[in-house]
Amino acid sequence: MILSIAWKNIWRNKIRSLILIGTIAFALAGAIFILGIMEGWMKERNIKIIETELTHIQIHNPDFVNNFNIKDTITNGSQILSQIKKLDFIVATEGRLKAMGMVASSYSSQGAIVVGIDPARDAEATKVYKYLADSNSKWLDQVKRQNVVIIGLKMAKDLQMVNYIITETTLLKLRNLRLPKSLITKLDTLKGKKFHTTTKFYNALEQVLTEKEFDQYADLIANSCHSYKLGRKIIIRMQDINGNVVEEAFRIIGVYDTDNDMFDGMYLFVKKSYLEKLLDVPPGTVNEIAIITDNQKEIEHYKAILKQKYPDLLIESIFDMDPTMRVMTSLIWIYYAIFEAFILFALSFGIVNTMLMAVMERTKELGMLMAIGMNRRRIFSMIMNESILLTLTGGIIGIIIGYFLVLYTGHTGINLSKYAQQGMEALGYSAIIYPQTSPMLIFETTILVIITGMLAAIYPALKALKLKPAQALRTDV
Amino acid sequence: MAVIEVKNLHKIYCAGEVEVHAIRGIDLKIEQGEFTAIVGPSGSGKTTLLNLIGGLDEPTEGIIIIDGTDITKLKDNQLIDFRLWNIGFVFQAYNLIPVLTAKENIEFIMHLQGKSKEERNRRAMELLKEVGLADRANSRPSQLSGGQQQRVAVARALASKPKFVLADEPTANLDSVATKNLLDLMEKLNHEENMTFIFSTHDSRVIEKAHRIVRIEDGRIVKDEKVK
Repeated sequence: MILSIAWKNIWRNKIRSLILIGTIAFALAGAIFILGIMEGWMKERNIKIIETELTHIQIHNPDFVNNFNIKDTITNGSQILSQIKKLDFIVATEGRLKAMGMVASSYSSQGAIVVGIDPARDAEATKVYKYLADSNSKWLDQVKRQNVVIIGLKMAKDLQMVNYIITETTLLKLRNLRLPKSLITKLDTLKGKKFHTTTKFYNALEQVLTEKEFDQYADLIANSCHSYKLGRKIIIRMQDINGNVVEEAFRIIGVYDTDNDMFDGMYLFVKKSYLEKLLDVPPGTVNEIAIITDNQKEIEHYKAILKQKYPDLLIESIFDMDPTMRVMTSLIWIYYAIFEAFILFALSFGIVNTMLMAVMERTKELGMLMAIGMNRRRIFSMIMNESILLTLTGGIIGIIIGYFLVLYTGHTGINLSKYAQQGMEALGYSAIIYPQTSPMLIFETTILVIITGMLAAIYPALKALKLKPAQALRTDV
Repeated sequence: MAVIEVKNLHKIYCAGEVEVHAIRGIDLKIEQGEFTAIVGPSGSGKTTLLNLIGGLDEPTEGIIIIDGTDITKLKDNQLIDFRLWNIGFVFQAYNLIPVLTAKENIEFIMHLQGKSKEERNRRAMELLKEVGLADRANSRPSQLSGGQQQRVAVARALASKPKFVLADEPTANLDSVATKNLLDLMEKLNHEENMTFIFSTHDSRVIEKAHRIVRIEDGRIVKDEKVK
């Protein structure tokens, strides 16, 4: 009955309550949406990092990590690999042969990490094949040739292997991204011209655009009109196990793009058997074992099991290799809580104010309730309930709106490439965000809303408790 | 045995820096089944006396014994509980809970007493019938006239089965028809159920109905007479 009275009391001043409910709903919908963007952003980045580079757990010869020397392989690597495959928590594992090298095209050269992997896609830990940039790109298992390579789009650009040509389709694409009309007109002057290198294209852009336009849009324009030709060759130069420099031409059969410039500009993938021959190492040599487990939350536990089994090897979890992952996966809820707490703290002033008004204008009624025998505990609980119900109503509406906003934009994606493609991809984030939300976030928000409602009610409730029935009854409000 | 026994009661208020001696040594006994009016001019101390008897205010001096319990010794929460089980209140401004219906208002006090839903429902309907408002059970106070609201207030006061009912100027806001109806109702309840009523008033229509009239002036009883 107290709960029902509390609920009815909320609606005594409909406009006041609706304004507060609306404010809470609006603020929380915004919070859920913003956190949804963050969550989507991070999860996507995490998945990419796991799938393309770090996996869940990696095993190395401890010396390899320090100096990246091809000699520091994992002793009995293939044996260990087959033992690990039998463990029940392993979903996928693969032995990699990694070497530092130089890669050169006809125009440019740079350092690179050459990763030799078993080309078969099934049950392998590396899933870079999921990020092939175009439908003509092939994965290593689709060609019989041995000297083939998959490179990142960023590397292709850096090696000046990407052509740029502004076509009508490019302009249309840019128009759809709502780029300024004046900019499109300027680009129109470049229409049809083919630029064979990134440098040349950027130079041409610099000529027609203002400095500000160039800084803001050059990367976006470049990404909308680039093309590359598969089948071209690059030269990879490495040191073999004997310290001799070896050099080999590889044909590019695929280009991948994970939106992470650091990765895409550095890693190239070749067939492991061919790399073994080149580096003059025995077949089956591995210097990195990459593991995907069945449960990301148990990684540390699985790592401990492996550590016990192979005490001489360096066994690292993804959290050791990329400490930001630990922050993002296990501590992120603290960040969410702090973010929401700030919003709710700001809202609590409004709630305190509303509840205080509700108490003050009901002084006489509260006096009457005390007079007829409603004790202080019940009065306190009635005001507390009112505040919680009021806050929760706004909170639930906000959570629902925020949730559907996340659901909708999670489906359509939010394209930020117009504003910050380069900056975000340089940090390893995609410029198109697909917001996500988690039950944890919803649960956390609901709990925080209830706590806010309770805390905001304390002052008005205490104020009510201080009333003396005889005096309160005499009040004329 | 007296239901209410007041001995040497004093109440001094501090109004700013001025001390107001509202009650100056009152001794009063009220027996079960009395129908007593406390009368006197404005500011004579009627409401203060009623508030003290009802445990809504603390005396500066003196004792108030209700049904054998000295309520001046009770702690705040005990006093609230004591009021809930022993005293029925009818206020000048009706003071019903505006968000509840007439029936719910009557049930509310029984809810506080922890009575079962069936019992609450049965007694609330009984009382509504008794005060002649059975057909308005589901009306909110705002949908009732002043007289009807005051009758609901009387029903609420009786719902907890109190030892006595205190009514502070119950007819002050009522027209003469509503006043007559209310007084008839209270008199009937007094007569049929032997319910003790004590009301403060300066309404001559109420005074006429009273069986005992206690006249107060300047915080002192100046006259105490049984008229019926």
